[in-house]
Amino acid sequence: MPNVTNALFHRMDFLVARQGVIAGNIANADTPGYLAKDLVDASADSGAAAPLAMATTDGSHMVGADAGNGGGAMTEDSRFLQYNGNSVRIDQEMLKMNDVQMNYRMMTELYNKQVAMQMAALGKQ
Amino acid sequence: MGVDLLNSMDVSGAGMAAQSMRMKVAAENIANADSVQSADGSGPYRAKQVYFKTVLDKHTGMASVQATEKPDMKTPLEAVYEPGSDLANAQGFVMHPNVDITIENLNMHEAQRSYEANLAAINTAKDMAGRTLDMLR
Repeated sequence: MPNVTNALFHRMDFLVARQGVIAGNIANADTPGYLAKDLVDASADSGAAAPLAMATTDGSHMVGADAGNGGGAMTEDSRFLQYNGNSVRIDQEMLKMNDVQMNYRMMTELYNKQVAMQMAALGKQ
Repeated sequence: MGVDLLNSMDVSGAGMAAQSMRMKVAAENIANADSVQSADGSGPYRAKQVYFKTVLDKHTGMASVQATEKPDMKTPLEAVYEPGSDLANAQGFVMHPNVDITIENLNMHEAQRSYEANLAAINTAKDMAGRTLDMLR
């Protein structure tokens, strides 16, 4: 049971870090020369890594893993460049943000269910 | 974890401020598209340009943004033939501002779209923070 909670928290840390990267992309959607970034979960043990697999194959140039990124590796996307060198696509960022939000909701719901289960188990003693 | 969400909101807030400046500058340029006399009397109004710059926070590693506005002295002014005007030069031309209304309209639309995207990012971070707090109940 504690291991599942640790995995949940690790996942939530990663999602929060990814949200930060997406916020940076959206804020810099009009900055010349800015390349859209994304965080990819380095640990592939969670089942939710499957939708992130799209990000790994789509992105280019791995910049390297960093503990401050919630265990994720930063990638830069330089495919869809605008005339000013900016590669941020607002629609893609919106989709990513929705993905993050849904996953985060799922994690908190799972945690709440766990706690409820434990409470129920305690109640039955 | 919570600190990162607040940092996200700060970044989105900076994005909104930058887009607000862009909107303000577009409005100023459109309003002054025919201002042949500037406030300080140094000639016609010069269209303002907005410059976006990435600001990297060294502690969090987050990419914030900052916008600055400067008058555009490079784009040439528009010469309009108005021989009857007090401000006409020897050839009868009056210099009009270098404002392109089409581009300013586009800037306005893009600024609004980007502003709303930043707002959505703030709402997402707020939703996530709220759910984290709910976990404590």
